[in-house]
Amino acid sequence: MQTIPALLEALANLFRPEVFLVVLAATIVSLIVGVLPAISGGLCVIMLLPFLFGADPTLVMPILCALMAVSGLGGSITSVLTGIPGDNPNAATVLDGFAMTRKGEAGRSLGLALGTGVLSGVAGVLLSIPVIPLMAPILMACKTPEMLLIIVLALLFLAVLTKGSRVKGLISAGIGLTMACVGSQAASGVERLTFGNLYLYDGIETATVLMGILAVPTLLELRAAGVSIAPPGSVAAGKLSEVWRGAKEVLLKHKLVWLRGTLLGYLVGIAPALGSNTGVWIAYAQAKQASKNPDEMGKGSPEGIVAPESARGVCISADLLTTLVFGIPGSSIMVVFLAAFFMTGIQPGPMLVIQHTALAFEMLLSMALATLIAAVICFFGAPLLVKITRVSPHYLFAFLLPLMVLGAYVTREYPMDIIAIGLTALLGLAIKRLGFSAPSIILGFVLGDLFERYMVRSVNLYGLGFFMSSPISIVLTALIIISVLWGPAKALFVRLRGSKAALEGGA
Amino acid sequence: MKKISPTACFLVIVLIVMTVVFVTSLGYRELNVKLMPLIVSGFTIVLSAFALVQDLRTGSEHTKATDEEGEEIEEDDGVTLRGLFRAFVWFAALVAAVYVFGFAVAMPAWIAFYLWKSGHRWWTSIILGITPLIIVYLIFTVLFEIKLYPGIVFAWLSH
Repeated sequence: MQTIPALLEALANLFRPEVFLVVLAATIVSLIVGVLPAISGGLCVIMLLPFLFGADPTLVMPILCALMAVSGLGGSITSVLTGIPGDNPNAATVLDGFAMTRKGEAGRSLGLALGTGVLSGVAGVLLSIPVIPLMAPILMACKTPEMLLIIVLALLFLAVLTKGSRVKGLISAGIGLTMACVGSQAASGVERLTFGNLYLYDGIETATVLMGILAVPTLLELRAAGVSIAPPGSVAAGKLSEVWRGAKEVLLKHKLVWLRGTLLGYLVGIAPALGSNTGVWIAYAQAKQASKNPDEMGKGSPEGIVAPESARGVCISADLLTTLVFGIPGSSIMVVFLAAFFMTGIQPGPMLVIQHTALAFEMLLSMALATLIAAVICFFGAPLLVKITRVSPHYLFAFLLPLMVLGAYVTREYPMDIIAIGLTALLGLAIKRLGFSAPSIILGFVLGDLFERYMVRSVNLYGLGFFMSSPISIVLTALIIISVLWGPAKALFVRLRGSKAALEGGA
Repeated sequence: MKKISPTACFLVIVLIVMTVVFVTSLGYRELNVKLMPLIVSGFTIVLSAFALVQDLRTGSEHTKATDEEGEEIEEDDGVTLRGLFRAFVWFAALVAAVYVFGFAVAMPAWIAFYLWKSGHRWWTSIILGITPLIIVYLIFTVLFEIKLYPGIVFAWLSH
């Protein structure tokens, strides 16, 4: 593989007028659909698939990459300004991004999200180029037990960090995992927990759960509070300077959070099938654990925006890398990319990098280019976009709620998904008001299928001692034990120290 | 008599549901099929029972603030339970209307009625109700070729 000539060829291809123009058009389309809560760049890629037969891959692949790379950036605008995840990986950004917006700092919040997203998007591409030759040994080291333990660790990290009660966080994860069990089991096709209901055979739809648990309760609370998203008389959030200040803050004040989120997101991204939906929550949980003010997380902490956005921004190029190099989808939407490769006559896998090195680089570079174009559009359009926060909650309630119901329906076109969003919203409202953890439910639900697949395989292959099957497994198991015991041990230590001090005081 | 907290009620529901999941899973023949639901529901049952006992012991100790009408106010955002209930009723009405009458009828009707009840003029409400439907129709039906759900009433009439 001749890296430098291939890289130069990729750059030359990318700046051909026709390629640059289609990347620009795809970026604008992706930003618009990214801002809309019901649809994402992934849907656009699926819509394009029928038109890809026989198309020139050097022209088509950059379009698909631009659609995928920028949609999340548009989604972060929606998440920060309206509290509704524009796309599934934006769910974690909602927690602190929207809380900061409600404090009247919409511009700063938007700047933090966009600045982080752009930096990480570009960093992901820059990391991917030299990482290609190093990929094989990393992925070969992660076998089934390691993948299972990574998922367990992610669930535990998030659950044990639930404010107020770790037990509630773990119960929430249990609810999410149980919801994931409903329907046909992926491995065997056997139906479970359907109770004879035909609708449940296909399981519960992810979009419905995301909308019901996260988005609808937010809107209901807004309507109940009766105030606009940002409080009246709050700071002038609509100014470009506010957005710019937020973006600069990423590197000036939160560079360590950004760096950790980017590295974590990248590692999760290159692991097969995990993708940015997982990466953002792991980064969020890690940021909360490492934060000097963990109680501020969820209340508009900048760290709570930087960490998940850095993971989201970087994950997509790492996902693409795994898909390109190994022919294994780095995330669920990368399955569509695999189909696109076949339609344009390209066989993904190690041979792709050897035979079509320039194309592999062109795809990665088109992601960076699309991200930079989107950055310019977003930063200059931001003062207009933040005006949405001044809108009365009645308008948001009236127009966004039907859109959410529609979003739940269009994914599978099942009428029962309309009822399902009502029921999941009721559950979401209950868990939100009673101090349970919505992110833990979502993570449990999203990872449930993988969790089960890896668990069954690990038990079948290695028996019940699978967690001791390799040095990496042992390290991951140790981390799991530490994250479970850390809180109780710390509480015990504080109690013992308190009683010792009381005894000394008494003496 | 000690008042049972909403958290305790929720935990009781979780316990019942998880017990049903556990018992149902025991009935599956293959170990691979029942392994995950058994482990997850068993684990959640134990944790829920623990949380329930903890809540019953300490749940009634803290008192909550009330507004001028004596309504309970949640700590952070000033949302009253009555306000939340009203908002949920609007949402439930939308879900039911869409399911019965489909998007084409329920969506503009619900938006128009909601805006009218929120103080808008009737003709503004109707215009604002119809506009999103036109946009949704153009995006989903024309561009993405997704057929909007017609509702059980119109589906039944068309048969």
